[in-house]
Order: sequence, then structure tokens, then C-alpha cells
Amino acid sequence: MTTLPARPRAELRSHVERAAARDTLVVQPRMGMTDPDAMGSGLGAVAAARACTVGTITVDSYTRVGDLAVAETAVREGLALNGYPIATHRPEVTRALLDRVPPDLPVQVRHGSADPRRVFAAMDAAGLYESEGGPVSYCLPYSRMPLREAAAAWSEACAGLAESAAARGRRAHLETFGGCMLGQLCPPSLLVALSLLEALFFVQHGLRSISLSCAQQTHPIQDVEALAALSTLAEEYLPSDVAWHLVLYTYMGVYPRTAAGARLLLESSARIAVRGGAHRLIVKTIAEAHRIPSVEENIEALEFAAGAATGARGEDCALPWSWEADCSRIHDEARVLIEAALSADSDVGRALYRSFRRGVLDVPYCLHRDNAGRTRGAIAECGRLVWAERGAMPLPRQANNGVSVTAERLLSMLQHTARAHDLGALGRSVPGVLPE
Amino acid sequence: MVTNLGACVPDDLLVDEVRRIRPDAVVCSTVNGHGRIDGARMIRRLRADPDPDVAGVPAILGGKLGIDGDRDPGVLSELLEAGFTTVFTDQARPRTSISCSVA
Repeated sequence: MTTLPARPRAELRSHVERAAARDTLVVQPRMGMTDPDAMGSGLGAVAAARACTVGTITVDSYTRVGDLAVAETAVREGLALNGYPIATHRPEVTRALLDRVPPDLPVQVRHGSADPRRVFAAMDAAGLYESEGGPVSYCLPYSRMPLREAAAAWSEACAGLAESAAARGRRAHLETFGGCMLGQLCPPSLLVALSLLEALFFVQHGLRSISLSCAQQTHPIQDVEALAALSTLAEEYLPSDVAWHLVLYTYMGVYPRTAAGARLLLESSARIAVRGGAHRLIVKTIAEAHRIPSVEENIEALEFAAGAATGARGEDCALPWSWEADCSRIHDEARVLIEAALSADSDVGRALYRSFRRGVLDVPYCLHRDNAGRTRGAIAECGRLVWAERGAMPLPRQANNGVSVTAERLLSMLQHTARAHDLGALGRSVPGVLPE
Repeated sequence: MVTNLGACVPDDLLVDEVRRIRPDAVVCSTVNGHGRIDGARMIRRLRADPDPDVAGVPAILGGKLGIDGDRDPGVLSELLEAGFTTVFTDQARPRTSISCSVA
């Protein structure tokens, strides 16, 4: 008896393009369970949500750092990790769980690895070709690996993913994580520049289907400007045969503690995504401040965000559209950084680590030894993120906004968004934070 | 004076740095929900060091200790038993936590 080949899984890229054509924002959770049955059920619930969704397999952090022995022990002993150990479960196990998930749900693997080669190999073995990350964004915040080694590992992994996908008649897709360095307190020009540089790195290593990320930060209008700048730069720099879209991450820093505050922040991110021209949103849940969310909390967040996105197309949303926003400052700063980085070497990976070594690119509050660590971001009185220290980055010298960052102030800034939305949900406004 | 060892600190590096720097205290932050597993392993390694000054350094852990949040009260006593001087969940407020740990 022969079995019919399973219907191929929907592609993330075309799924997002079709949704965008009917003015629908695609929403996506983070979700990873150690147990394959639980993972399959979670993906099934995402497929059944009342929203246009993409499913996620989040890989556990032992696999991310290559500590596969611990992941194996956990699987053997039935312990729960913080994600799906994709390189430990046999490929047939992953394929079998995917067979239970409706094929019209694209499934992206999210992993956080400075060296993603084993994760990508496990994806290939399971028939998955859509992932995310980047040589800078998954090295500097989460790893001790030298940036030079991460760039080499990523170049090999990208080329391998593109080739193995093509060999099976699929198109690999990678999303930059560079638009979210350290989650918070990084002014948007550097996030936009890093997202674009990682996109160029992917293109150099064979990818033709990519998405560029940007994170929701402290000021909705500034966030719309950042998305507008990223879009303009992607049009300028990416070759015409590369298909791309923008993806926004709901706030990645300290999250509101109250359910109402968390929903207010998620609602704001859905509006920013729609108004700023992002076609996909990675959501956060009301559980975010407390623990890894349950499937139910994720579904609630997806449906809530989808509803907020529909509302954001109406006239009662006070946020500007991307074409109304003045993105010139973010665009110009990002362009200076991109040009300075690209002038360091014709190979994007080498250009990236040379630029970090010289401090031409320098992520605020990042402790990695390949990051110069001379820059500081701060939240200005108006709620926007600004540079308090530019280090050696070739940015125009502007008035220093009168901001200096003390330990006290840093702690306060880290809590700023959570506090503002917890208070905002009680109807108490905080100056400069919720301009809507 | 604070010496920051960065992300994903290997156990050996931590012990070597404690031996070299002789700090007043070690403060560890954990955010990925594996603090219960990794914290216990790390502190047992530190407490087992033959140098009593290294093994006895006050050590504080705080953050997301498990993947289910604070629903399992056993995690705190487990980590204290493993050797931490003080353990905070990520629901602790920084100011309160600092005054607690100094007291």
C-alpha cells in the first residue's frame, strides 16, 4: 500500500502576502513544549484561533546553546524545558506532530542560537524551512561566542538552509531578529540598521525570502516612524528578486503585571503594526510578566491582537500612517550606520564584526565582549528613546537631551513601559507615554 | 565595584573569577525559566570548591526560576538548600530586594 504524500505545509511568505492583500495582520505567538503531543496540540490551537495566524515552534534554551546532553536527559526523564528540543526528538517524531497540524498553518522555528547549524539541520530533517535570528542579534545578547564565529556559523547555516529547501522544492525564509537587540532601551536607528544589515547578510548567503523585524518600544509614533524607515531602507538596499515583509514584536522588555496593562500594551502594538505597515505581529500575553504563557493565554492574545489590528484601520485610531510619519531622522541615522558598517568589508559578516570591534556599531547595555559598550540609550521626557551616549558611532552630534544614565535612572527606565501601561489601564495617564 | 561576567556564564568561569576577584557577593540573574536546574548545578559547584573563601562567598539568585512562574513554592527552598544565600523570584521589587539582601 502506498501512502499519498502529505499536502505541503503553507509557506509563511505567501500566507503573509495573501493576508496583507486583504488588509489583515498576521499574528503569531511564541510557543515551545518539550512533549511532542503538547507541541502538536498547541500548534493545532493556533491554527484554530479566530485570527490569521502563523504557528511557532520555540526551541528550548539548552538546544540553543548546543548543550544537547541536558536536552536529551530532559526528554528521557520527561522533564519540562522552556521549549521544544528539536535536535533531540527524532525527525519522525517532529514530522508526526506536524502531520496533526492543519497544513494551511505555516510553522516557523524560533531558536535564539548564536550557532544555528544543528537547529537548521533538525528543521531540514523534519521538513521545516522557516526560521529567524541573525549573526549579531542571536550572538551579542544571548551568547558568549565571539561574533566572528557566530557570523561564520550563520553563513554556513543560511547557505545550507537555502540549498536544502531548494532541493526539496521549498523556499527557505529567515526573519531578522536585529530589530530587537536587548529588547529595550536601544534607540530605533540602530535597531533598524541592524535589522537591515542582517537582512543583507541573509541575502548574501542565498536567502530570497526574508522578513525584517522591529520591536515596539516606548513611544507609538516613534515606533511607526521606525517601521517606515525600515521599509524605505529595505526598498533601497534589498535586491528586487528578494521578497520581504516587516514584522513587529510586541514590547520585549519588562512587561506590565496587570492583565489590563498587558492588554493595553498588546493593543498598542497591533495598532503600531497596522499603521506602520508591518504585515505580521509577534504577540505577548497577559502572563508575560509572570511565566511562560499557556496555550489558552496565547490564543487569547492572538485573537485580541487581531481584533485590535482591525480596529486600527478605522478613523478613531490617532496614530499616523507610515506615509504620514516623519521618519527622516531615524532613516538618516540608520543609513549612516549601515553605510559605515558596509564600508568595512564587502562580506557582510566580516563588515559586521569589524564594525562592532571599532565601535561603529555599539549596542547600549550589551555586555558581550565584542560589543564596545560605550553607548547609552535613554527615555526622554517626551517618552521617545534617545541617545544619551553615542560612543564611537558616526552619528551627528546633537544636543545630548540633557540625559545622563545613573543606576537609579536605569532601573526606572527598565520599568517605564510596564508602569505606564499598568497605570494607563487604570485611566491614569503618564506624560509622554501614551500619546493616543 | 561591579564585575559583570555577561550571559550564559559557564560554571568553571564563575568559580575562576570568584577565586581571582574575591568579590563581596555573587549576584546571578536568570530569565529563561531554567534557573531551577542551572542555578542548583552552579551553586553546588561553587560551594564544593576546596578554597573556603571561594566556596563561602554570599551568592544571590533572582529571576524566572521555573517555566511555570511562582506556582511551585518548592523551588525557593530547593535552591536555598542547594547553597544560595538568598533567592528572589522575578516578582520581587529591586529596591526591596536590595535592602533585604544587605540586611
